[in-house]
Amino acid sequence: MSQKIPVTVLTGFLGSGKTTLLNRILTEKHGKRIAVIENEFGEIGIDHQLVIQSDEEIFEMNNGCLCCTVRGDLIRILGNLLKRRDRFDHILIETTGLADPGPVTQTFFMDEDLKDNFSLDGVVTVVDAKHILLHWEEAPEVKEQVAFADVILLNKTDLVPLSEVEALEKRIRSMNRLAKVYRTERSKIEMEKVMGLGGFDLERILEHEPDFLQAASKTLGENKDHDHGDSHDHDHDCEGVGCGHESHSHSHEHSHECDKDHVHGPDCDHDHDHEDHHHDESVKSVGIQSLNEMDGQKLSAWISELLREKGADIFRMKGVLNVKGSPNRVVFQGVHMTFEANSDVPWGDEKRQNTLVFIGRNLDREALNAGFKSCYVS
Amino acid sequence: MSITGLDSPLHEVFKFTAGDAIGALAWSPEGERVAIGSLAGELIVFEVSTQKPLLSISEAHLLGTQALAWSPDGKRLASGGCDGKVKVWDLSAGVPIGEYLFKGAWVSHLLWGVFKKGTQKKGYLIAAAGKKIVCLNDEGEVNHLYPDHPFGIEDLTWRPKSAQFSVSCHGGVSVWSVMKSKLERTYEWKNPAIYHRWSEDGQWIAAGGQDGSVHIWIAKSGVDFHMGGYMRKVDRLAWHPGGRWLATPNGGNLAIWDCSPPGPEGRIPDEYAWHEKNIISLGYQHHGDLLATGGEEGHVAFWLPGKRDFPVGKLALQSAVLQLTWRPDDQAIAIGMQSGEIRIFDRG
Repeated sequence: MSQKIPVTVLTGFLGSGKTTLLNRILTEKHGKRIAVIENEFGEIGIDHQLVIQSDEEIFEMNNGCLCCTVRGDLIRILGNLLKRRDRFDHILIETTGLADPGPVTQTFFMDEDLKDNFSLDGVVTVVDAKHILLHWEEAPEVKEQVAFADVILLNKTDLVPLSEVEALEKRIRSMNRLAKVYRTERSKIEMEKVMGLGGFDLERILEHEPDFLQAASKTLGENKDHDHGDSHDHDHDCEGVGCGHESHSHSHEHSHECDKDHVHGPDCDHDHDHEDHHHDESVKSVGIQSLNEMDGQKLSAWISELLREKGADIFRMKGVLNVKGSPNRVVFQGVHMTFEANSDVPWGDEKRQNTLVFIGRNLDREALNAGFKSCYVS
Repeated sequence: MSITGLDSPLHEVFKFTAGDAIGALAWSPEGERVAIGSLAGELIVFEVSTQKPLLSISEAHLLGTQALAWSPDGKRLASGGCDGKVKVWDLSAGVPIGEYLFKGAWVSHLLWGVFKKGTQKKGYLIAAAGKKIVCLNDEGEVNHLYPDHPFGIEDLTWRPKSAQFSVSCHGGVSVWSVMKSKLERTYEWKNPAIYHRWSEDGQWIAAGGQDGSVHIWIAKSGVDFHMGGYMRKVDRLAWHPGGRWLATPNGGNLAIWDCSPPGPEGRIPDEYAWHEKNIISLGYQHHGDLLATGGEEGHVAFWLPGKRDFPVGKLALQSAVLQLTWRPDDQAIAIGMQSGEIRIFDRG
């Protein structure tokens, strides 16, 4: 099977320096064949780069009982790129300054072709150090863009006193503990820091914020002896058309609940809460770490319910989990109501443990801890 | 190379390789020529019997040619591509005689038909790009524009036995008049309808969904049925010419719905497994019972749904089968692949 094509999502509020970064990426000599999907009109790119204009077409998808917003234009454009014999090495998607990064990232969970052929390499958010505080309160997108980021460029630091930069960085880190933060001037940064991040890397928070996870682990009780027994299977047998299952990367519980009711029946008319832009902002990160073995089925049920109820407030969720019966690390990734669990590399000599991070609004640390604990192997 | 097992075998009569994946493939109305659009931007027209290129433009559309339509008299060809342009070609002159530009959107679909307006017959070329649709004349000049769709246009096709066409996008299917910019009817559905086709008698509309389902409406009453549970999005489907069978891909399986009265509701589809990977193209004969399916793995199968639950003919090719199209007389099939290859198999 051919390797997945990495995708970088570039966000940043108006005037943050996003376009400057994009131009740097396009002109840098990195030898990569990049397709850029941008929101403003672009002529054909430089050298081997392809620049495609697209207007952000966001629609809500009701997939059985699961709702989420996706970018229809991306499905069409990337679907076309996939058909080509000469593939691109990297895809770069620039969002508008006012965009919520949710739909663009969710698209890669919701469309099978995109899920199978692309990997979300990272969300890069450019922050204007001089002006961000002006928008902080009235534009919820600013916090969403910070919360979604894997990499944050704290840009225009030359225009702001050092003390302000430090205060801002602290504030940003309190919201998003997962992201790497770089201070930049005129969006100048080495390409390898924004592209080719290799996707999932929870270890990096341990590098720069060891306390974040340790604090959480204290609330999770004592370690247990490991017991490698029954196997947990993340796949579900599908009975074919009419079975009612959705793609299994989605919230499993949802699809099972709908099951046969959706066959030949009327559309699902469950209520779904899609409040995207609350204004009572309290975006933060909650980290959970423990050595306990997890019961895969309980975990799947808990996460499904959690995302169904709180999915609108949970921007991103990432985790590496110690699931009973799996010789491999089980890697979780979620965006709002969608999530996927994949079997990663074997644990080998590495200590088996759980590391799970939520970034979102109004997160209840105690409730998350309690829910997580309830999934321990009993 | 031949395809056996059919009542008469199909023999390979034509082979050509374009510069990139085949974006569009269309038989001329009389069935003697085939037009090829590639994602490298080429536009090539061959006379199949002699293998002679009648038109060969290496860069008809920058970034890719992905839509083609022949004029009903076969004298002209319209092409559309990722440069946002529709070009109308006069085949005898080998040059574009008209051009229309959609700003900032790829041309995804083209339809060309002749309809009677008053006492005169006129040609109408319908082109879609992004959220926009325009009706051009035979020269590529604007007849009229349609209002923007709320979402990107996923599919465009004729409504049978009418001077109307239909559009599917997120929210369902809408039906429009060809002669003027008039919305005739809508068939609503709250999910993205990424492909749709009418049964030949015009009684049914079936739409495939991004959400892994098929939605069917009775055209007259608007009564709808929903069939869920597909393992992936349903981006192709095909009606048996008699209107009884609706063929849909379910990943690598072929799922066939029986739409004979009282309709598919409550029925379980027949499901046939053969392809190793997803079915990404399929096409029924225009008048016959044979259905062809093309897989991501590069195999083509020929089926007689409702009669046989296994492929009656098979063909192993080396690249994902993006396009399958039967010649108007049903005696030959053209196959377009991701590798850029075109293969034509003929009963003659």
